[in-house]
Amino acid sequence: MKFPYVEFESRLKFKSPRKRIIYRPIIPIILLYEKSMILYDCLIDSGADQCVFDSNVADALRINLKSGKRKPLKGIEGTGIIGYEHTINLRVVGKNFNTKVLFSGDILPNSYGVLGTRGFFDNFDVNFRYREKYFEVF
Amino acid sequence: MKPIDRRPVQRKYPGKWVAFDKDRMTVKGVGGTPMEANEEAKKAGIKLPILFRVPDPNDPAIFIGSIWNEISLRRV
Repeated sequence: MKFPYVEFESRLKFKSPRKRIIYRPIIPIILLYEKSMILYDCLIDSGADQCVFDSNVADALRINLKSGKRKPLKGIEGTGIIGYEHTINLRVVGKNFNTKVLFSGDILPNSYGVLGTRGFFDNFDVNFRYREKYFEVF
Repeated sequence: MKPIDRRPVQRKYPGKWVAFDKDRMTVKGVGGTPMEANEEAKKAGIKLPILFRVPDPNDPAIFIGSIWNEISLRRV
């Protein structure tokens, strides 16, 4: 299935009003946990080892965050944060499967829900056509 | 393919959770949490809105590997 990139803007510098345009591969996915279901726009990130979502999303799904297995998460800058692993059901482009994902209350407000290798790329191929501003998930 | 332009939403609702209609552009609910945005959209008649936390366009950090590289940019 084809999806358009999503267009954002961001300031070039703290002291400058000038902005840059950024395009990101974001798709809507359905997250299910027991009787709760939400539709959530998430970033496809082949550099992430696992799917990671904000703890607010766990609340929306009525998941007891800290009942999950506690796991450390690290990004490129090396500062660790804590996530809690839970098994949920994901529905993406018509495919439905259970997978382990992480929820964290330490994710910065400007970040996204992330679709990483485990749970996303092990179920789908993605053809990024950045210059044409679309990507395919199949 | 034409990108989905979220810039107007960024300018209006920076840092908020929003609930979109199925076109992924029309805002039907806004709140401080996904639940608040979801509830507002449901009251507006949207059964399953698309939830999203809106990045602040005034944050100059570069997004890399799910981390905002703020420190390096503050030196610029």
